[in-house]
Amino acid sequence: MTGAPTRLPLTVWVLLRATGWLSTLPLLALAAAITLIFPDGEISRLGPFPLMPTLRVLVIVPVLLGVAVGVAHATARTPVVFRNGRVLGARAISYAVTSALAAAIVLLGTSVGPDVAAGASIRNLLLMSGLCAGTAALAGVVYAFVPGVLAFAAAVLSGPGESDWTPWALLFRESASGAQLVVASAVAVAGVGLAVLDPRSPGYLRDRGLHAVVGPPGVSSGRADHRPGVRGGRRGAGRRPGR
Amino acid sequence: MIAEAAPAPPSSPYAGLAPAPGTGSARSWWHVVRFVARHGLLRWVALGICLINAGVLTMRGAPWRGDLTWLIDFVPIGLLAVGPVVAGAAALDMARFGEGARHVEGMRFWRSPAAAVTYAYTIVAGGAYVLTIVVGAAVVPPVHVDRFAWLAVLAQVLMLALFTAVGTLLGRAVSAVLAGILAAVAVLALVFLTSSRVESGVALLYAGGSLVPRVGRGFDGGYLAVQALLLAAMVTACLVIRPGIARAGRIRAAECAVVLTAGSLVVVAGQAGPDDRLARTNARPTDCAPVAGVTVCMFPEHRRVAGEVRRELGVVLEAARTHGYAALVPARVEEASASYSPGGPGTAAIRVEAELEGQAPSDEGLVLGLVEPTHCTPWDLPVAEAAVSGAELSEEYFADLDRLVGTWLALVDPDAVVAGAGDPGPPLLAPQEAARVMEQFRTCTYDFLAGPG
Repeated sequence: MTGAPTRLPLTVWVLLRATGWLSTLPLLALAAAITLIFPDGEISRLGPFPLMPTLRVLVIVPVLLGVAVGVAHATARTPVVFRNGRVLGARAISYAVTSALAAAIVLLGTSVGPDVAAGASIRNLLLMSGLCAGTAALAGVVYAFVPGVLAFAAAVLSGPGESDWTPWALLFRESASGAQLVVASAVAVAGVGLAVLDPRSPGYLRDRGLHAVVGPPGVSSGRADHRPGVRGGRRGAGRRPGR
Repeated sequence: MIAEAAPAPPSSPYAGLAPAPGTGSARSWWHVVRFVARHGLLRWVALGICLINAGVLTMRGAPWRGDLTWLIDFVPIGLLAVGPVVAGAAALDMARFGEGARHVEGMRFWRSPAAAVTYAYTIVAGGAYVLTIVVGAAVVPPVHVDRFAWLAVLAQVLMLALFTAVGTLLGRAVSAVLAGILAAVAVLALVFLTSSRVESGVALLYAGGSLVPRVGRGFDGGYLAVQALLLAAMVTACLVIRPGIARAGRIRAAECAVVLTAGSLVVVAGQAGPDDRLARTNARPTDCAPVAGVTVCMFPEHRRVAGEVRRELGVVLEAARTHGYAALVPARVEEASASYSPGGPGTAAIRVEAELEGQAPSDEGLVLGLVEPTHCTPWDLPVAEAAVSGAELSEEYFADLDRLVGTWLALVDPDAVVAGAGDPGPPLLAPQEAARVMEQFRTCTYDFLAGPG
């Protein structure tokens, strides 16, 4: 990079754009569309398998929302250049904004869908947000979807039962017990907290979009590419993509 | 891409998707597969498929053991979980490997990076899938191998290829962050829409997924061949779609034609193709042995539970004989299947299903099988014909059936409560009356049907 670029005014929008938050929009839009189009939708069979009891669409929409929370701060893990309170705050804002929008969509579903147990949707949102955000923090943001897929698959294959703690009961049951909500909240706090602290990502390489967050360049002269899966900067050489 | 592509930029970590210099075609294929397996998620996907299929195969006491046709139809229960995993991983690998290999996407589609990922996933993930079937078959070696079993397995592997191709399509269209989840959602939607059996035609992703025994039914080669062709066409269609890649107009037109043709074939075959994936074999049970003086024949696929079924059946038959109801005891008992309903003078049927899941044979199930005249005409009436004629089984028939079953069960265990708590159950039949009803049932001379209206 040559010359000192102009420092952009730090607004929430600039910050969100610079840290890959726009990736959440398709998922949030898809979840909102499903919520509005199928407010009372029920899935009675998946392929050749009848579901007994039937599965409410609004109960599984939070799986998508959880993945959206997981990818809220979609910046690739990059070498140590800069780490301070502003970086941590940027991550916190990304997850806070996405979580608020996801909660709004869940509440929208409970208001337009008849007889929808809000507890089940909130439980699923908390659980999937924590799992997806935690996975994004530990493995890389591109893997944030994996818990969603695995949880859905496990719930389908495990089938209904009496216990509160089977994958089916944790994801598909239309009512949430108090214990489930407590555990889901703990998972959400742990997962999102981990993602905000992001212990495996010590900081950002400086790039045009990130100047607003981390300040003007001066420490690193390496060119960074923050697209996930692309090695950025000299000190990132040899690291696995998406990490 | 495989043999001809220009090498990816040296700085790209994905230069492995470009061909090895100076290598021949076969080595290049191996090179690509090995690269995707080593640097992508393919190994984890193969492990995931093995774990999911192992979980599926152990469901419900692994009732498929000994029946290869059922095994092949049982494993696809896991496709609902396998599909999103395969598609999500393929999308992610494609999105990541596509970086630095974008310049080779414009060449012939079967040499594109997407094709390379699809080949690798089909070979390795498909191999893991087939391996689980082979291991399952080795647990209890099947006594009969359907001649189209290979085609059924091929169709399922092609389904994995389609999941991969859908994943690579999305992996090229969106960023790596979104590719995985969108591919998983797309495949779930595809499974939701196209994996149920349709009345008249071929369902693209219908692979059985059956929890009921397959004895008496075999694979329909025509159905499976059409299904495999449709899947191959859809895989091709996914690979030729290359958003954002500049190509000559005529090539673009040809690729559009491929996509439209594949889509049209799926729609047409769904309306007018072969309509039954399984054909009736009308096979007869051949594993025969005497039980309490009665010849009992079962299907060799169910040999592993034959001992306990015969033992309990002996108790039931002896009870009737020692209490003076010898007329109820048939000369021959045969196991029924989906395409064979034994019956007639001197012959009765048994059904074996719960026993395959590890449950002990129940007297009630055995007696009901011995008594119920499912070989008679009312059970063979086509549904439409029965609706037109207004034919339905009469109340008297059900009352006589209840009395006959209750009488026989009371002979086996006088303390057994047959009709439920607090209900004294149907009055028992005298030996002569029981013999008369039984004879009418076996010879189909009973007046089964209620009058129209």
